[in-house]
Amino acid sequence: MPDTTEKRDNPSRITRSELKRMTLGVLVELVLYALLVVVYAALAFRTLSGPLLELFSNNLALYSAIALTLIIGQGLLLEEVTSFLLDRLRLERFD
Amino acid sequence: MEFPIAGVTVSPVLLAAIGFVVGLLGGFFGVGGGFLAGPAMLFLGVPANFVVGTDLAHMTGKSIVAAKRHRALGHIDLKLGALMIAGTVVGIELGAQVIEKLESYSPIVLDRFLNIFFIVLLLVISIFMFWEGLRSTRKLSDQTLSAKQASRFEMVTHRIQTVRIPPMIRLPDSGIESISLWLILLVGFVTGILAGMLGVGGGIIRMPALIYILGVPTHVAVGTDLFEIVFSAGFGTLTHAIKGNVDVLMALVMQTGAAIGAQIGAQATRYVSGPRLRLAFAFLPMIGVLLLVYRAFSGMVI
Repeated sequence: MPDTTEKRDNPSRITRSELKRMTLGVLVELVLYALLVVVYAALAFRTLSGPLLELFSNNLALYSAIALTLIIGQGLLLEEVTSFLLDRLRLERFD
Repeated sequence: MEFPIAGVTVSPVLLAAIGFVVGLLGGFFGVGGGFLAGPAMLFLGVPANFVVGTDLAHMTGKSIVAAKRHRALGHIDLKLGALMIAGTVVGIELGAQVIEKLESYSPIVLDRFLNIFFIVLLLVISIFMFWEGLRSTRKLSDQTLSAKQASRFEMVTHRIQTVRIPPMIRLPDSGIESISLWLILLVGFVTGILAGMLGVGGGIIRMPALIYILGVPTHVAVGTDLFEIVFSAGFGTLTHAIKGNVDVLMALVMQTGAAIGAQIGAQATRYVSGPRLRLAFAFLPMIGVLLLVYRAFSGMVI
């Protein structure tokens, strides 16, 4: 278990050039992420919108359960994707 | 893009952009960001009855992303989070029921009272955290102190921690040797009641409470609060969805932006000390105050 008691007493100082490189990296990753998301959204919503609307109209209890499952599922999926993208920025090396 | 469940056409890019900004703030400060996302959704034309529920749904997913990152960074006290959830969920339910009862008497007076109360509460939090954060930051710069020692409120927190009502528990992840279980439940319960009454997730109240009342280190407070939001917002999503107030497609779109924002926000906490984080947090409630004042004058309904 990591020591969590204000272990960031002296957080890493980032130099101007490092900050510039990080910002550029974040912007590149954001563009990549946006492209991925657009493709994903187009596919997912085309498939889901019809059945979800039907459920919303006919069975709210089931709709609620599926809605929460979808939110959690997408949360876990996006966590993996964004972690992968952020790890590519190599932010760790500034620790 | 048409969202058939809410029956409205809204730009998905703007929804994702709102999610991104709220996610960034949420990941960095440990708040759900409902006070910001709600009015923004209204501006986009999302029907008022769908705003709160849909926002809670996206908040659930976003908090999963941010909490997982904070967990990896060692910023979550699971034991404290689990105990707080118990107090918070009961508090939120009670707060919501109190409001429902009071609304039947005079909804306009109640709405005005809550608006003023929330503005005052946010102002107090903002001013106090600005004062404390500024002094602690100066103290941290002037002397060789740890970020925890630099807190200007440490004496009061220490006194609160001396309340010895059994059972006493240990929170090693938060560096707390001994604290009354009842104190934790009480803080969760009270912040839950406030959240339930004011119709917000409560992170903006709970985060300072974790730091100044329970004495939790700032970064752990941020992570633990996000962990708690996963459950409280998830619970809220279910209750609102059953009432037909959640457009899950809209929430999923918002979540795509919020996920990357939350990751960046959570990661950014590594480069900021506790006192500086608290100082920056002080500006967050002010945004809420401005939106509430605007709401009061424009008659916006949420």
